[in-house]
Amino acid sequence: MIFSIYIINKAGGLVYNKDYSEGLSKLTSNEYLVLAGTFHGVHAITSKISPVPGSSGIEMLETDTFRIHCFQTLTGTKFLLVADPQQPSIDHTMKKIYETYSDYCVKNPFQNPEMPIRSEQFDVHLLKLVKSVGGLALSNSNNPYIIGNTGAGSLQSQSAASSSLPPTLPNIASSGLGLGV
Amino acid sequence: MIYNMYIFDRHCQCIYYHDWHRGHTGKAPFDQHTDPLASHPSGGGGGSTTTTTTMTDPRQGMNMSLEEEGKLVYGVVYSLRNLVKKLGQSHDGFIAYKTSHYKLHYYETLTGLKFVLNSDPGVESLQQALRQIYTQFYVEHVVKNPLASATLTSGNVNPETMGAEGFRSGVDRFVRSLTMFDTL
Repeated sequence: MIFSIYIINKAGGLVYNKDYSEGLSKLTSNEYLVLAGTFHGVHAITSKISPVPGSSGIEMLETDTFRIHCFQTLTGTKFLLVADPQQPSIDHTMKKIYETYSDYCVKNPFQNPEMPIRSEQFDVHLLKLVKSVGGLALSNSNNPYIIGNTGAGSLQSQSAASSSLPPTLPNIASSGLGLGV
Repeated sequence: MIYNMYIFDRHCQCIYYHDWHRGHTGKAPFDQHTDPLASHPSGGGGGSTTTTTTMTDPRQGMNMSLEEEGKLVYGVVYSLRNLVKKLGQSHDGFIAYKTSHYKLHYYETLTGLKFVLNSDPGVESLQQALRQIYTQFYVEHVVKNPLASATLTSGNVNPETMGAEGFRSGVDRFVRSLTMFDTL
C-alpha cells in the first residue's frame, strides 16, 4: 500500500505532494512544507554523521507503521515514497515514478523544475502507476481513487487510454494540488 | 558490523559514547582531554579497536569534534522522531533509518532517554538489543547507582565520572557478543 508521494526540489521546497491511501494523519499544506524542509535538512546531515566515509543521505526511514523511501536524482531532486512496510518492489516503483516525472514534468516546456508541479497528465499517470503496483487500499470502499477503469496497463498503453477516462477523474486528480505556495 | 553507540538524556546531552569499528584514523578528536565528552575506549577494559584502526580513506568532515557530532546526531533523531510522530500518530514509531553506508537504530525509553546505535546497512532491527542494553545495563549500573544518579541530575554528566565502569564494560561485552558485531 502506498500512502503518499512527495517531490522535493533541490532547495528543499515541496513541489508535489499527493496522498493515495488512508492510514496516516492528514496534514495542512503548511505542515507538508515543513515536513519536506525537515527531511531535506536531515538528509544532508545524515551523510555528515556517518561513522564510515562516503555515505549518502538517508535512503529509507523505518517506523512501526510505514516506511519512507527516498530517492535523490543527480540533479538534487528528491522523491519520497511513503509506503506500507510490506509494499514490494519499491526500487522498481521509484524508477517508474522518476520516469513519469521525466516524461510529464521535465519534458514539459512550461514546467520550471523548481516550481510546484501542476500537471494533470502527471497526476493521471502517477495514479495509474500507483494503481498498477497495488498501491491503493482496495478494501477501502470510499477511496475516491478507485474508479471503474482499474486496468493495470503498461506505461505505453496509458497515453492512449487516458483519453477514455471517466469524466470525474480530472477533477479528482487535480483536487489535491492546492499547495498554496 | 556495529560501528558506534550514543546515549542522550532528556536535555539533549550525550551522556555516553562508545565506538567499535569506526572507519577513521586514531588521531581523531576523541583523544583530546579537553573535550568533556571524550571517552577513552581503552578504559572500558575491552581492548577496543578504535585507536588501532586506520583506513586509507580518512572520513570526510572528520574535523568535527565528538561534541558537535553528538549534537548533529541528536538533531537528526529528534527531527525524525517528530516527523514520524506527526505522520503516524504513534508515540514511538521511529525504529531506524538507512543510508548507503550505515543504518541508525533508535530506541527511546519512557523517560526520554535516547539510545542510538550505528551498524552496517544489512543488519536487521537492533531495537531489541538497545532495549536490552537499557534494561540489563543502564538500569542495573546507572539507575541503581546512587553516585551516577547524583551526577545525572546536576546536568553535567561525564561517563568517566559517573561511576559506571561496570556499565561500559557490560555494554562492550554485550555488543561484542552480538552475531553481527564484526561480520559484514
